[in-house]
Amino acid sequence: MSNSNKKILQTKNLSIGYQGKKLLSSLNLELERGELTCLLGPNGTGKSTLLHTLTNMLKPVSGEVYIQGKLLDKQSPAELAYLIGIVLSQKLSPVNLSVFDIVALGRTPYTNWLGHLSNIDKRAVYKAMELVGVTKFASRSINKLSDGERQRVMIAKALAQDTPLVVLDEPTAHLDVNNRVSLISLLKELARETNKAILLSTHELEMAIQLADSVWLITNHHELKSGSPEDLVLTGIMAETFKGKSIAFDMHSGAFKILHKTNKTVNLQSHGIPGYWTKHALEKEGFQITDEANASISISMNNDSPYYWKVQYNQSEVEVKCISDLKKTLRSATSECMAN
Amino acid sequence: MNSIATINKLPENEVPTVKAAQSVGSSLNGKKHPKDQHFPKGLLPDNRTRYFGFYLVMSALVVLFFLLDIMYGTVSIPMKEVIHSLTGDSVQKESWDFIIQEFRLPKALTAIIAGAGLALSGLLMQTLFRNPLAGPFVLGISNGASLGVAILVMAGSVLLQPLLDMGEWGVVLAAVSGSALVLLLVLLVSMKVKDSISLLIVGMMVGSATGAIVSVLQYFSDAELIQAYLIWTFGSLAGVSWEQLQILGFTTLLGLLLTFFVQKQLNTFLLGEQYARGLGISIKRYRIIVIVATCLLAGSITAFCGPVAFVGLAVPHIARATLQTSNHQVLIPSVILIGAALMLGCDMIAQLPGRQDTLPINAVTAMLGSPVVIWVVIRSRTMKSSI
Repeated sequence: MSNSNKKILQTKNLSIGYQGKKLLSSLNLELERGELTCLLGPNGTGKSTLLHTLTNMLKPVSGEVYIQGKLLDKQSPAELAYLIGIVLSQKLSPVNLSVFDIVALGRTPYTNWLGHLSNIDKRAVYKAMELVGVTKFASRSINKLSDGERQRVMIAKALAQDTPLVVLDEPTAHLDVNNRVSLISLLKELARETNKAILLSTHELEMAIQLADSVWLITNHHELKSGSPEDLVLTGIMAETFKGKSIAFDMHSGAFKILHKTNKTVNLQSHGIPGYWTKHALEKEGFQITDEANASISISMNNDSPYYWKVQYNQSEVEVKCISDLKKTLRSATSECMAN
Repeated sequence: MNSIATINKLPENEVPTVKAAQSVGSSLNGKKHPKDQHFPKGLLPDNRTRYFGFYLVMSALVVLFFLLDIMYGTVSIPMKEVIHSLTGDSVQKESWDFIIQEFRLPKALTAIIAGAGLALSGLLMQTLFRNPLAGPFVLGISNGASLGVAILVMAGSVLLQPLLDMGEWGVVLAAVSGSALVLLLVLLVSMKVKDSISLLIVGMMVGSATGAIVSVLQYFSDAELIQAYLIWTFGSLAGVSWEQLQILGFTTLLGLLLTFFVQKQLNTFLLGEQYARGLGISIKRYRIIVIVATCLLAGSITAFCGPVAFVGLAVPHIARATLQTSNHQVLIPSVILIGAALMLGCDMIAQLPGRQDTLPINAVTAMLGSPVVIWVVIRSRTMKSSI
C-alpha cells in the first residue's frame, strides 16, 4: 500500500452484533493516518462489539472491514498482528516481567521461533518506550508500576508492534483524572508523531471533544454518527445522546451539567467569578435564580475580596462572610417564609 | 506535556531498584549506539550474565548431587570409584560396579528426568491456566494417570488384556491417556469458567472422582493387586530399569522439545489470551501443544515413578523467586536445573544415608514441597501472586 493512501481502515455496509443480536447496521466508517478517533456512546450500545469486530475477535453479521485495502476476514492471526495493535481495558494479571520484556512482546510477529530480539527489534522497543515515557522503568517489574504507568507500557507494546492501526478498548477505565487526561493527550501526540490511526473507546466525553480529531458516536437510536466532535455538538446529537433525568450536556462548555431540582426562587445581584460560584451553591440548595425583584428572598453581594453577602427576607437583613453561612441563613429563611 | 511529566515522577514510597537507577545513569554517561541516537545500549536491561551465572551454578549443583546420590546408599562408595565406574574404568570392587551400573545410575538418571520433567510440566500448567497454584498434582492430572494405572493393574485382566501384554509401554499408555483425559476435561471447563479458583475446585473434584473410582476398583480387587497399586502410589525412583529409562527418556525428551518449540508463545500467554491473539498467536494450536507436552511429561513420569507430589508446583515458584522474572526463555532452563537438583536432593534424603530403609519419594517431596506452597500463599497475600 502506498503512503499516499491515507485511509487505514474502511468498513463497507458493516453490520455488527453477537449471538444473533444485531446492534448496529450499515456502517460505512473510515480511519485516517495521523488521526485520533474516539468511540463514544452510552453503555450497552455496542462500543466493545464494534471494536471486537474491527479487530477480528468477532465476525461481522454482514458487510466487510478493510484494513489497508485488505479484507479483514481473510487475514490469519499472524498477518493481523502486522496490521492492528491492541490495548485492552482489563488489568493485567500480575506477572513478573520487566517493562522491557513486555514491550518486547510487541515484537513477537517479527522475531524468529526462539523469540530472539535483533538490534532492529531492540531499537523499536526502545523507541516505543521513549515515546510513552517509560524508558526509566525499563528493567523494573510491571507489578511495581502504577495503573497509569502500566497502561502506558501496554501502549508502548502496541507501538513496538509497528502497526498502522492501534485500537484501545477503554484504556482509561481504571485511571484517575490526571492519568486519563495525560493518556489521551499522549495518544493524540502519538497519532501525529507516528502517523498511525488510533481508535479508542471511552466514556470521557469532555476529553474526547477537546482532543479527538474525529468522533464515532453511537446514539440511543442504534445509529453511529461520525464526524468532527464540534460538528456533533453543533448538530445537537451529543446533547440528544447524553440526555438524562438529572444530567444535561452543556453546549457552552462541552461538559456535563447536573440538573438540580429547584422548588424555591431567589433574587441574586452579582456578577463575575464570585457570582458564578454563589449561583452554583444556590442551585445545589434547590434555588432557581430570578431577576424578579418581588422574590421573597433577595441576595446582594460585594464582588471584591473580602466577600460578603446581604440576605433580605421578611423585612430583615442578614450579612454573612462565607457561602456556608449563606446557606445556613437561607435554610432558616426559607423555613421562616414557609411558616408565614 | 506538564501532566505527563508529573506522571513519570516516581511515587514517593517507591524506591527505584538499584538496577534501574544504574541503567538510567549509564544512559546519561554511556556511549550511544553508533547507528541510532535513540538506542543508548546501557539502558536496555541485560541480565544475561546473571542468568548465565545461575545456570552454571545450578549445573554444577546437579553434577555434584548426581555423584553424591550415586555414592551414598546402604553401601557407601568413594567418589573416585564412582567416576571410574561411570567412565568405564576398572573399579576396585566388582560389587560396587554392579551396584552403580544396575541400581544407582539408573535411579539417579530417573531422578534427574523426573525432577526436570515434573518441574517443566508444572511451569506449563501455571502459564496455561495463568494460575500460580496450578500444577500436575493440583489440577488432577496425576490423579488421571493414577486412574489409568489403577484400571490397568486392577481391572486390566478383564478389560485391557492387550495393554497388559505390552508390559511397560502399556503402563505408560494407561498413565498418559488417563492424564490426558483429565487435562482435557479441566481444559474444557476452563473455557467455560474464566476464574482460576473455580478451575482449581473443578480440578480437585475431578481428583476426588478419580480417587473414588480407584477405591471402587480396590474394593473388588485381590489384595495382591491392591498392594501392587499402593506401592506404585508411594512413588519410587528405584524401580526403573534401563529399558524403562529409555522409554521415559524418550517421552520426556519429546515433551521438552515441544516446550522449547512454544517458549516464545508461552511468554505472550502471560499477557492473557486476547493480547496473545493480538500478537498473532493461534491460541488453540498452542494450547493443544502445551497440553500434549504436559501429558507426555507428567503422564510418563507418573507411570514409572508414581504420583510424585509438589515438585511440579513448587519448582517454578522457586525459579521465579530466585530469578525475579516470568520470562520463559529464562524459566525453562532454570526449572529443568532446579527440578533435577531438587529431585536428586530428595532422593538422597529418602535413602536415609547409613541405614537399610528408604522412604517413599512421594513423602519426601511432599514434606519439602508443602512449606513452599504455604510460602506461595502467604506471599500472595502480602504481595501480588504472580505467574
